[in-house]
Amino acid sequence: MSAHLDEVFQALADPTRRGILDRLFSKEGQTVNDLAAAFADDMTRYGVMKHLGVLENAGLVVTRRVGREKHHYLNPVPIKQIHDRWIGKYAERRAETLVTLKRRIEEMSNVGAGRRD
Amino acid sequence: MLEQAVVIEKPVHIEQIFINATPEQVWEAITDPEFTAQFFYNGRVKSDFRPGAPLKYVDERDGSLQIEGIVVEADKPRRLVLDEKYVWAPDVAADPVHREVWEIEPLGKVCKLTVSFYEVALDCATMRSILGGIPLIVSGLKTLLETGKPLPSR
Repeated sequence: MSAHLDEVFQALADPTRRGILDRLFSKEGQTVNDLAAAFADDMTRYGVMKHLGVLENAGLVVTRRVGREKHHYLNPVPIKQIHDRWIGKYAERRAETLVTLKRRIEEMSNVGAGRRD
Repeated sequence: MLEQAVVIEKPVHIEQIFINATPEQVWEAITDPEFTAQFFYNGRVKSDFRPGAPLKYVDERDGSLQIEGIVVEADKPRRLVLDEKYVWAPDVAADPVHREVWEIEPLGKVCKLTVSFYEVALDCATMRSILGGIPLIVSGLKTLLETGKPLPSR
């Protein structure tokens, strides 16, 4: 699991690969040709294939062959796993802190209100 | 009886997860109501999982119908093709029937679960539910099989 997440982080560390994921997010099921055309200004078809290979190994991209065409899909599951492992717990703590802060402020303002009465 | 989805060959969306379990255990978890209630939004699956058989997910908390469908193909423990209509809310219930293909592939000691979706419009309530809910369902299934406990509810 953690070894797998290392691969996911490494795959996500590259801006071009994140760009490919964004492309797949906006339109799933694209072929290498579709993606190579979209990134034609920045890299060769071979470059696109290499990045797709890294994304596929990390489980971020899943492919499906239909006839002669290979279609690429963004698999959201590893990103959710990163979220659960690395983001969810910190976000929760932050949310808790905010809730505590809110309670403190309310308590203080109640005390204040008490004094005024 | 539900109409079958008209299927073109290319899925609109795919989700995949690796689970440290045997294909038989994964199959059991997705076809047994005692298991599905723990990771499928409290839904108890009801079907005998034979081709042509009706399929239902019923919320165990209040008995309401969440999903209705039919089993199109069932190749235990490898492949399950289901035509489904989500019915838990009016927005998803207004969408047409879509197809889900659940594939379980052994890969050494683990297995790979791939869920592919067909015949879902890109911008509809059903697609939004799939994108929001399926990662939670497959992660919950993984956690349940690997630890024996469901994901904590939020």
